Amino acid sequence: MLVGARGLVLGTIALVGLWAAWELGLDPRDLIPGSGGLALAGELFSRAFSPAWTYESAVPEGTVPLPLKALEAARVTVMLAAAALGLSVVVGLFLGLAASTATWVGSAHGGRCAWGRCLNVTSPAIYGVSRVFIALLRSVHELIWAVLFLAAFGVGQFSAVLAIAIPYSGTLAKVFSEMLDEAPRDAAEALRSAGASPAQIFLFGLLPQALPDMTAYAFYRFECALRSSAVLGFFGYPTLGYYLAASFENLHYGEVWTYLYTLLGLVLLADAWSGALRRRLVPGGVR
Amino acid sequence: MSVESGSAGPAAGFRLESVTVSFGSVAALDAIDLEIARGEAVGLVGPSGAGKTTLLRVLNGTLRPENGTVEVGGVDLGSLSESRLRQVRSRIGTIHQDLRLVPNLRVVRNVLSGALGRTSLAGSLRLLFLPPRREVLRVHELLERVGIEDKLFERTDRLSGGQRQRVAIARALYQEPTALLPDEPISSLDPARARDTMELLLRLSRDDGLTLCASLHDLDIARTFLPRLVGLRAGRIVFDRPTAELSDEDFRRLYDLEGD
Repeated sequence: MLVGARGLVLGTIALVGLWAAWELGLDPRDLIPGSGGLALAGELFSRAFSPAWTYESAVPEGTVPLPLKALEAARVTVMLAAAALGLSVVVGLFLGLAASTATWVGSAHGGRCAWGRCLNVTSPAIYGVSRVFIALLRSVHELIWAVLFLAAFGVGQFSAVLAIAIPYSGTLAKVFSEMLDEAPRDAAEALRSAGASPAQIFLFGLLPQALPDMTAYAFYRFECALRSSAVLGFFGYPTLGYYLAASFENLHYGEVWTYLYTLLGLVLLADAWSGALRRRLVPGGVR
Repeated sequence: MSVESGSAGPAAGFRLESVTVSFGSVAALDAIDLEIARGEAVGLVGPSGAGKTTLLRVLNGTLRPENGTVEVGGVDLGSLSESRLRQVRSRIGTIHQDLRLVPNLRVVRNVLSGALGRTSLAGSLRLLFLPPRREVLRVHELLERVGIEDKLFERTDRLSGGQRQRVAIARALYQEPTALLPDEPISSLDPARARDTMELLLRLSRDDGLTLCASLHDLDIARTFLPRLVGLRAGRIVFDRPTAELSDEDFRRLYDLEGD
C-alpha cells in the first residue's frame, strides 16, 4: 500500500476541488476590485468604528430614534427566531426519537406480547420513513422557503417562522437522533435487567445521558436561527435584515453598522446564555 | 439493622436444568445443572470467560437459553410472556460489574430507577420527576444501609468508584428484590474495600433474607466469605460443593491452563 485509505480520501477531495475550480474558471484576479468597488468598500468599512446614532437623512417628524428602531428590529428578530426554534425543537424531538435506533433498543426484545410484536414489525418502517422525511425537511434552505411563502402568502410573521422552522426541524431531528444513538447504553441494559419496559428504558436510561448535548445543540441552533431571522429581513420581514438592506441601498453606512452591531450583540448574548447553561449541564465543568 | 416495611417477600430460589447458551459457535454455557436454595449464599468462581456473567444473565432472566429450563422461585421462565418475565426481572437485583448507572443524574434518581420494573409508565414519570417524600426517605434509608446517605442529592458522576458501587447496590435493593446477583463486585476495589463490600453484600442479603449469588474471580475472598462455591470453566461446572469441602487441588485444577 503506497497510500493509506486516508490518503486516498484526501487526495480525491483535493482532485475534485481542483477539477471544480477549473470547470468554474476560477481566477484569483477576479477578486481584485475595480476602483468603484474599492471606494465603496472603503466607505463602508470606514464607518465600522463610527456607527450612526441618528438617521443619516431627514426623517419625518415623530419617527422613532435610530437606536430604538434597531432595538425594535432586534426584538422582532429574536421573536421570530424563538418561535421558529420552539416549533423546531418539538418537531425535531419527535422525529429525532423516531429516527434513532436507540429508541427501538428495548422493543427488540419485546417479541412476545401483542404490542411488542406490533413494534417489531412497524419500528423499521417508522425509522425508515422518518429518516427520509428528515432528509426532505433539510434539503430545502430556509431562504428558499421564505421566497416561496412570500410568493404564496405575502409578508407575514407566520410564514417567516415556518420558513425557518422547516429546515431547522430537520437538522435538529437528525442531530438529536445521532446524539441519542451515541448515548451509552449500559444504564439502559441495567434497567432492562431490572424489569423496566422499553419506554421506561428509553426515558430513564438513554434520554438523560443525551439531554445535555441536545440542549446545548438546541442553543447553538438558536444562534443560527437569530442570523436566519435577520437575513429573512432582506425579503421584507421586519427583522434587522430589512433595515440593514434599506440602509445599505441608501448608502447610509453608519446605519448599516448600527444594525450589524445590534445583531452581533444578540448573537453574543445567546452565546453567553448557552455557555452558562452548558457549564451547568456538562459533567466536570465549573460547578 | 432491621428488615424494613415493604421489603421483599420470601427469597427466591433458582433451578437450572441442562441450560445451554452459545454465542455463535462458542458454547458459553454447556448443559448446566444448578440449584440454589432460597436464602442461600453462593459464589461463582472460575477463570475469565468461564461463563460466570452469562450464568448470571440467565439467572436474572435477561438471557433466554436455547436449551434447558430456568426456574426462578418455582416459575419456569421459558413459559412466561415478555411482560411476566419483566415482573420476574424486576424482583432480581443484579449489580453489574460496570455498575451501569446514569452518570449525570443525582444519586436519588438512580436509586429510584430501581423501581421502574414494578411501576407503570405514568407512575415512573411521577416517581422520577416528582418523587413522593416517602420514596425519597426510603432511598435515604437504603443509602444509610450502604453507608453513603450523605450523597443522596449528589450527582452520580461526582462520586468515587466505591461510592458509585454502593449506589448500584442501593438501586438493586430499591427493587425490593428476592435475590441479589452481584457480578464481580470487587474487581475494581483494593483488598480492604473488597472485604467491606463482601461483608456489606452478605449482611444485606442476610438481613433481608435474600438469595445471594455472586461471581468472583478472587478465590481468597470467595473462600473466606461464601459457604458454597460453584467452579465454572469453559461453560461447564467443574465443582459445586460447600467451601469447607474444597481443597487447594480443586482450585488448582479450575485455573490450570493446560488441562482443557
